[in-house]
Amino acid sequence: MTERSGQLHINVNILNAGVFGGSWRFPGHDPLGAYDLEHYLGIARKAEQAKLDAVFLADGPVVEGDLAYRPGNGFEPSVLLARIAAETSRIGLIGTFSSSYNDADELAARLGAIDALSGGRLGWNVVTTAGARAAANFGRGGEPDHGARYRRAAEVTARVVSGWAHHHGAPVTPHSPQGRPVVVQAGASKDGVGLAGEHAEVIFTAAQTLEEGLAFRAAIDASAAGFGRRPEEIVILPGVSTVIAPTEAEAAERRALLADLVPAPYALGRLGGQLGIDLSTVDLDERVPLDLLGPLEHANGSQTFYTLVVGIVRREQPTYRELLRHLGGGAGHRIVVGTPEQVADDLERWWRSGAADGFNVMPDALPTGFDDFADQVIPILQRRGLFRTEYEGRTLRELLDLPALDRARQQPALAAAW
Amino acid sequence: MTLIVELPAAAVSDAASARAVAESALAAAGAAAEHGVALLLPEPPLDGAAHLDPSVLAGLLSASATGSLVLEADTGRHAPYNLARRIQSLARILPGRIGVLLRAGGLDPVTAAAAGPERADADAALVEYATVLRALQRSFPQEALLGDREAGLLADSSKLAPAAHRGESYAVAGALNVPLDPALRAAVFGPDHVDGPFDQRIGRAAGSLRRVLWAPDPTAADRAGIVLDAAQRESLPLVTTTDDGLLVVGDATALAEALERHAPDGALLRPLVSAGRLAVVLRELLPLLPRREPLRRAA
Repeated sequence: MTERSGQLHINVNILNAGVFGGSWRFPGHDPLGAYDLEHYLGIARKAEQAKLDAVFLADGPVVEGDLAYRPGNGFEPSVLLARIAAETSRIGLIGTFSSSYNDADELAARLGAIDALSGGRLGWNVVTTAGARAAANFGRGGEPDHGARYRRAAEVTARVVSGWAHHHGAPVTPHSPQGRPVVVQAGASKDGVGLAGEHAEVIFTAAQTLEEGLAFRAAIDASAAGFGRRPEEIVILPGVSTVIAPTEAEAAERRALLADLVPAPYALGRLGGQLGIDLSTVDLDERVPLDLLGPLEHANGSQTFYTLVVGIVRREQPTYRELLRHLGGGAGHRIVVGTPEQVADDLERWWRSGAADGFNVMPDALPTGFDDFADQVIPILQRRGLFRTEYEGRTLRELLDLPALDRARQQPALAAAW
Repeated sequence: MTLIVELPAAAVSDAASARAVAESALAAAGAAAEHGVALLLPEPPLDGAAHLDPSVLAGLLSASATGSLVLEADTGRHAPYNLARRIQSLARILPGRIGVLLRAGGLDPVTAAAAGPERADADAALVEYATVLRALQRSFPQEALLGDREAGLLADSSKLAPAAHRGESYAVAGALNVPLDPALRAAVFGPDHVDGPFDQRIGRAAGSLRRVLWAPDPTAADRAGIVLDAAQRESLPLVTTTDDGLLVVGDATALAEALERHAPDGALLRPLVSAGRLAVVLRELLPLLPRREPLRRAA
């Protein structure tokens, strides 16, 4: 492996019961654990013991359409992060907040409060929130198109960052112990890369292969350079779903079990919904036609996910059943299955290649999937000198080795119509 | 009889001052909890100074606070769906020891951008806001969660009760994604001059919580810009009615008597002391009062 200095950055994405659609059914876990506060607090404490960079909370302002088959986000993240802040002292706190359905000044103030109260540990994952169902919770008849969502995201992000930097009007937020909270962004669409290049300091990606990861890094570096930013100002953390067991065979067994636990109506409904195609009548054992998916421009939902599925279909030419098993009812992130050693090897390989600065780890089933990662994979990475054994930085920005920047610019008021 | 005590506003310019406010709030909440009294976490006006969002502060305090918290929320700042999710999350976490005091501030920017020109009547918008909030509170009953591992059914979606609200100012479709036992929902407070679906009202009407401004001594009144003439200073304690409610200048005993006499249905008390002194003041005052009941909810 090539030489690379520094260490990995690792977050745990507390995706409720776990990354897969059937994680909540995992034997021995409380099926409703994802609605229990202690579930989140316990994982956060464990993550802090393991010296992780941050906990990460996904979110969307809508009740999930597939609630019958898997748990959703049962706590609003600013409230939950504030509570986690009270229970921890060093770990970073990254929450997802919609740029589409939050007011920039109010959001800046609310997140600034968590940042100040936690001693500078907050990160904001900017998402645009797709879907007409979320729009209907905010007086809108339909979903704004992809381009409009990202234009709004760029405006809101600039305004929030500028508010944190006290660059406009009266300060709405205390001075941040980390200069300003860290801006995190996911989404690898063309618009997403543009937004990331301008604003993101941490990027959460869904790259499936090293080549995709490296290509993504090159695209981000180019986009960032266009805004006068340097590559070292950006930390790229691909999402990685982990399935860990003492032996390779047991890990494969655990993976197969998790695939079997995904409720079938959920798997088909979700895939069809994400692709914008009605799959309710397909034969599961039929091969997915290569032309099932049209050009990317036809994708209404997440372009990142659409591209990912197209990649899998072209590479593997799976049946519907195989494709569903491959996706496993998860978010379509890369899945690493193996022993702790094998998982550590994989993470190291990605990191050394430059495709990743670290990972947003999405354990297969919570909490035990994360316990295994924290207790077994982290010590291996520590022994290899690839991960911290003690916290040194006080703030999230310091943990991530990000420069203490103040790049905020004066922003005009947002366009009134949205 | 409900008593809610407001946490005095304090400047939060940096992390140290933010922590100091949180510590003051925690100490005050502890003193209040011993007597069944709730602590109000205020929200400054829209053009106000840097502050700690009340729902964030409540989230932090939830780790150790044993009593009830009431959050103030301006309708001009928060889209109803967003506020409802935070309140519902707190109702789940605390559990049940939470209320929200709504302030009429017109439409929030997210709603206004979709709704077009703002309606003139902020009070009517407040009533509609409270209606939406109450509907959202009922939208995801805890009993909808099944957790049926064998059948692969996590929830019974037919038990969701989406708000499906389409009114003059707000259109809010959904159910919340935060489940809650209806008995634990946040109490909703509003002013008594508007006829909204509030659990309890603040104002002058019979049955309302009375607004009470309390200066423990004339100096505290001076600092707050309350002008007392020489005669008033000579004849303390002073208990007088103002446009806002009741003004009491005097010690804890004087305030306790005034509350018994003039606020028989309960009070929203605003002590003119620093946030850091509030716990001390409450420890002196509250033993003089009958024990209060927890936040009341309408059926």
